Amino acid sequence: MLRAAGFQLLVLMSLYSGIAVAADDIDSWLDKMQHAMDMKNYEGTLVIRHGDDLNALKFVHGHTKDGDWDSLESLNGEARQVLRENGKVTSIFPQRKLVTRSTDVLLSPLHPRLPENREVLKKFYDMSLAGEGRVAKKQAQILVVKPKDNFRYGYRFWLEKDTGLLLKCDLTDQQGKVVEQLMFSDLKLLDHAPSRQNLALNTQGFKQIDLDSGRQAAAEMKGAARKLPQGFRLTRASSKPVFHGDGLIRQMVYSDGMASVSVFIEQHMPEKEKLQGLVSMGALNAFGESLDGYHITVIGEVPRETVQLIGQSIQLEDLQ
Amino acid sequence: MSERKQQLSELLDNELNVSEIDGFLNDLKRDPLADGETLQHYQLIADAMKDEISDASFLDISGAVMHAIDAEPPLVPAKPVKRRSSRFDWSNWTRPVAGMAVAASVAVVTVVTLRGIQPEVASNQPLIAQTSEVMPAPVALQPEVARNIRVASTDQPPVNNNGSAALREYMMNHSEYAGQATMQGVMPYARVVSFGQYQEHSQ
Repeated sequence: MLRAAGFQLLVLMSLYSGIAVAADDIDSWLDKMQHAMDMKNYEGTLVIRHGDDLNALKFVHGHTKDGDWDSLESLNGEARQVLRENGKVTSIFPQRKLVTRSTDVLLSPLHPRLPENREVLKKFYDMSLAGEGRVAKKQAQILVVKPKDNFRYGYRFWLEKDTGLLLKCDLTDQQGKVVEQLMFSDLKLLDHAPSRQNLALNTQGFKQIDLDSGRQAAAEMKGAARKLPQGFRLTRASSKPVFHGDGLIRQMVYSDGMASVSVFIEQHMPEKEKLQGLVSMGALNAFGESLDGYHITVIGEVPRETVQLIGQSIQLEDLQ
Repeated sequence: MSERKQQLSELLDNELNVSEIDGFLNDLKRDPLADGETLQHYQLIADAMKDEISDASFLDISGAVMHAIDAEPPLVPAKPVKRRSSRFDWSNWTRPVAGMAVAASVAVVTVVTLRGIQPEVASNQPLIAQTSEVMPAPVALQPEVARNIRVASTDQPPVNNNGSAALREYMMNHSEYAGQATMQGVMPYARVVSFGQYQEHSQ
């Protein structure tokens, strides 16, 4: 009797130990991924597919004592380069002789990034290791992040075995079908951050535009969505001049730590056509409707049901 | 191995220069799907990117998918949903702002290629919760019909009649900030760069 009870206890302890080890492994891979994405130096060709589009980008990441920086340059379609450094984003359009700049200073996120919010994430996503694969001639560990409800997409990460660097990512819908893929077709790890002088395009004589001109962080963080999937929180609120015309446009960003949804509200101008209903573009879905002389647009890398749910719950009086 | 297959192989091995990649991808998009060789190229790309995922690719170009595209219902914009009046006083947070010329210029960087933007009929599915946070829904939502299955060579109807210009701007704006509050890292930025053609709006 005692022997049987002891055996059962041993089995239970083994099971618990196995679960704990699995959780530790997942946390360890998440740590490695986060660390590698920020701290490593690397360059390669990134292929991205969304909808029917296939695009290739040259991607370079540098880590120095002054901070991190990224360079993304389109290899097909219109030439464009995006430089990101310490929250500042610079976009260069050589054919248009145009440079735009934006910054995140006014919009510091309230939502804690990984690993602080990892336990919260696990309330809404199941995470598991799913064998190994090979991407860009590198062995990879596959990490699956599966949502527990139908209001968000799932993710499959291919992480380089040694460093944890993200080699490939699939976004999957509720049926497990891929709606967007990113993959390095080649990737080179570097000992030191490459020189940016060789990367930056010559912008002499280009028109310079500050995209943050007129942008103001909201004096008070107020959201307008009364229905949100569990785990989504308001992370940003700001207003800025409308893209083309008079007045302001208000933007609120909600996030669960994995996915994010933006809500845009602006005065409805009859002469301007606005989205009515739902549209999809790869992993991005959008919902739009007019309400009491204003127009609401909700966009996010979440299923269409989610943007519609949030959009239809917007109450403008909550913003007053 | 044909020249195109060779190019594809070289693309995946990073052996093509920028102009060759541009030409190859454009060529790939231009070719009609009826071209068997192009089909093979798409399949090769899909296979290469699918890796272990046998049935997950949305670029499945089997005959069944092509038939599904042909059978896709016409694009119908959703009707706006009737809402009760919010009696919202916009003036409370609408302030006079200088620099409208700059505001107009924002549109310069926020236009996404039209291809792939597909209107969907709004679902009439009732909301499943009335609380501020929606509980996880264990029941699967309605399956989508051939969503996102579009081919580059297909002549697609323009969607300008559904606010696509403003929508592109919203998408760009969202993507540029999405990566800063999530663990997606560089993915939203990659989306921004890969969204493609940009157009300058008149002020």
